Amino acid sequence: MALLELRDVHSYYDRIQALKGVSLEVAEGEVVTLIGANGAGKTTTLRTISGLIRPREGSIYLAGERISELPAHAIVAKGVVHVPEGRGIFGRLTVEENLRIGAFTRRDKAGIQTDLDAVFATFPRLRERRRQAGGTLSGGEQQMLAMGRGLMARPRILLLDEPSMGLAPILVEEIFAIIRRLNREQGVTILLVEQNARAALEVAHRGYVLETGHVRLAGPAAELLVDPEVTKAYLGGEGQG
Amino acid sequence: MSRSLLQHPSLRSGLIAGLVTVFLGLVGFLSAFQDDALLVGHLLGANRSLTLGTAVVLAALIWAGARAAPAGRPGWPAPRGPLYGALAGLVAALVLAAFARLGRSVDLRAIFPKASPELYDMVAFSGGAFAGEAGWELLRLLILGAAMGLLGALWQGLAPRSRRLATPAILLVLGLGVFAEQFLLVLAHNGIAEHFRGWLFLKGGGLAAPGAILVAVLAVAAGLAAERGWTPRQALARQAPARRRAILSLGWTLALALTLVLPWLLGSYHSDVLDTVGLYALMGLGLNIVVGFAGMLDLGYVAFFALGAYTAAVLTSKESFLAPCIRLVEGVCAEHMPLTGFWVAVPAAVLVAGLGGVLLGIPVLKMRGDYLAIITLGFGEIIRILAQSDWLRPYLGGSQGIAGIAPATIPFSGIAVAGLRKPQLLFYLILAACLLAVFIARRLRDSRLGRAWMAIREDEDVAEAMGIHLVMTKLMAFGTGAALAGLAGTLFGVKLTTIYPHSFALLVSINILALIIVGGMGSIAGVMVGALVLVGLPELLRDFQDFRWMAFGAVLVWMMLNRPEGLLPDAERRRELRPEGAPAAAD
Ligand SMILES: Nc1ncnc2c1ncn2[C@@H]1O[C@H](COP(=O)(O)OP(=O)(O)OP(=O)(O)O)[C@@H](O)[C@H]1O
Ligand SMILES: [Mg+2]
Repeated sequence: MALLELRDVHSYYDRIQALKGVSLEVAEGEVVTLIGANGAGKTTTLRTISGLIRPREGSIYLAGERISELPAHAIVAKGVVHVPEGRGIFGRLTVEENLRIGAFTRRDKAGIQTDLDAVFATFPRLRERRRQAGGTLSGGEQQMLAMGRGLMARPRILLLDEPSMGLAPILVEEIFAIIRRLNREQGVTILLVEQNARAALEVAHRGYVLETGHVRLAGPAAELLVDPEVTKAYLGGEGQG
Repeated sequence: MSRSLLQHPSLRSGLIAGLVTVFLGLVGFLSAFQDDALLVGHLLGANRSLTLGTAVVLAALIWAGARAAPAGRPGWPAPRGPLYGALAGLVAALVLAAFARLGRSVDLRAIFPKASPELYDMVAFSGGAFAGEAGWELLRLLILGAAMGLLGALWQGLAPRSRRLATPAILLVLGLGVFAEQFLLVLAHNGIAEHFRGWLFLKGGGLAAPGAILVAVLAVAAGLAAERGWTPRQALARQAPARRRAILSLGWTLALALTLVLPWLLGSYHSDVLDTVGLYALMGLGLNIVVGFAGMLDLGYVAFFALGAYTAAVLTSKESFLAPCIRLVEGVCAEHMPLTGFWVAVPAAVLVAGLGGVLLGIPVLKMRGDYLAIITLGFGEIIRILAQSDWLRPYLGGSQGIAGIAPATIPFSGIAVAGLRKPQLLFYLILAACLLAVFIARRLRDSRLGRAWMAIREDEDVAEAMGIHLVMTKLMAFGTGAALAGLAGTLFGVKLTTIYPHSFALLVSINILALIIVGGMGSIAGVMVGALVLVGLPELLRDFQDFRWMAFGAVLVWMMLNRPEGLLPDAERRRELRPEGAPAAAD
């Protein structure tokens, strides 16, 4: 059974339909990437999963349990953790306060402390800046903070929305290396939304291509990487990626 | 006049200073302060006093000089500084002279009722002991203007260190002068006024020269000590941790002891002022939870104050429609229950106000920022209008309000605390309520709930994505904030024994919000300081009539421009508004 499953999900912003029947699956321990052009509905998909938008039709299951009726905070409590597009750092709170808010749904003090140390081990730069205001971090550091904050919730699945957005190439590489490590070494299940399709497909096991609210293509990442249609539409202009 | 001449700093500063002074004179600001002696002394063979109004005119002249003088090398006046300064003072003096001349030949009173002959004497520094020929008057005014401008320029040229030392001394002398009457009142209450009168204050109410000099010397000495690291804070930092803790707790004990005897030192008038400050501080602590912690702009906070006050009044007033029932219940319970009236009213009022907060919270949950502010504003007015309405008159007394609110009875002692007669006793009740509120606010701030509030304040959407229950978290903020206002409302009723709808006007909400902002949004210590500054000071400045509100507005504008984070900001605020390296205020 898939850890996360979307069945024919339709989402609307008032009368504008953004998702027109999206179905996808993420198995435990997988990295699955969701690629597509601007406005294809990638962010909307993640927001629907995490309960920030309620689907008008279709359902979402976590390990077989239907979660599409639950409010956002209950979905987080179940271990579906969303690292939003644009990072959503609490600018005036310190790095450490940001991380602790990530663990908001948990009450095991000792476990939170352990995970705080683990996050600092994964992102040593955050440890150095733990008393600094989140808003004063660089873009790359903010992305690390956002991911670290997501990890603080001990997610069963982490939803990452464009973690490489606006970062210098060297930092993009670092972020993808971290995603790979999180998955391969710590076994974190990840649903990754990316513009940077080549890098995303290189780190992912499987991928979905979204086009104006539909799943256009799906398959193992290695196959999508060489798929002529994908190469033309999403990898073409990107050179070495 | 050529453009470049108009742009000359001396001309511009002089004109600005002169015209502002004329404006202040025409609106009556200067004459209002003409009876307030700041300093009294023996000068040029006669007793003369410097009134607050005259001081304002002098300050304008000095300011013109300081503004006109170009910046020089640090510690030295710029070569042309004194000249420019004197010129600016001269220009300002010319404006004043022209104004006085005009006013004396044409009667301006038809348009400006405050344009009296005394005003002209004042701005021209003539009249009284100085009366004389017009020519002499002009010459004297011009010399005075130039001298003051020069003084300003020299001040501008002073080394920053000298200015740093001198500023507190000057402010302290002025402050003591302005508040002389208040000090005398307190001293008289304690029967020690006579010892001080002779040299610190004079009969007119102003500060005497020896007193002024002494105060200034002390202030400079304190500044010098601070430079050498002899402040209490640094001295404390040098102690071993164990000793530091001992000294600190001793300090807190002393502070508490001082607070406890304070009303008896101050006397009943000032205790009453302190009671008002305490009530506002209490409400400030409550609103700070909503606005400062959770970041929801609530402009109708006074509604919960009113809910608390009316609930308590209905339950304890002998004129209340419930009075017969209550007498009955009390009659039955009297043997078993030492707590009556007030002590039943407190939890009831807190509960009703808290519920009111939650109920208001529900419809506005989805609102943010400006919309929230407008809706809460409307809610505040609705409550006041309901209280005033004919419809509820049988229960709430319409615009007559509810009178005869029972005093708070201290259990087992039979002491009745009614505010009007015993402001000193009421102070203890208010103090206890404030301490409780501080405790609650601190615990909440550092709790899980406090962190959720902070997250919502920073970014509601992300907070939701972090698993924070927005509805619960917001309602908790509204409810706790409102409950504290309800407590304040009960005490308010006890203080005045009568409540009227007009005590719960929009201005109360705005004042509370302003004191939070001035103190430092989100900062608990800041609320206390804000209440002292924004509620205490205007009370003490009552004899300045409406001009205190003008000064109040000016201070608010100045604060927002120069110290937007407030007087005692909390950590986040400081981080946002004073990045790296800026000096941190004490917590
Ligand atoms: N708050 C909103 N209100 C109305 N329409 C919206 C809103 N957010 C997104 N949309 C619309 O929904 C569609 C999908 O948007 P979405 O943000 O999911 O795209 P995306 O794939 O994440 O794009 P990008 O790569 O640019 O982030 C777009 O047509 C967009 O205009
Ligand atoms: Mg997007």
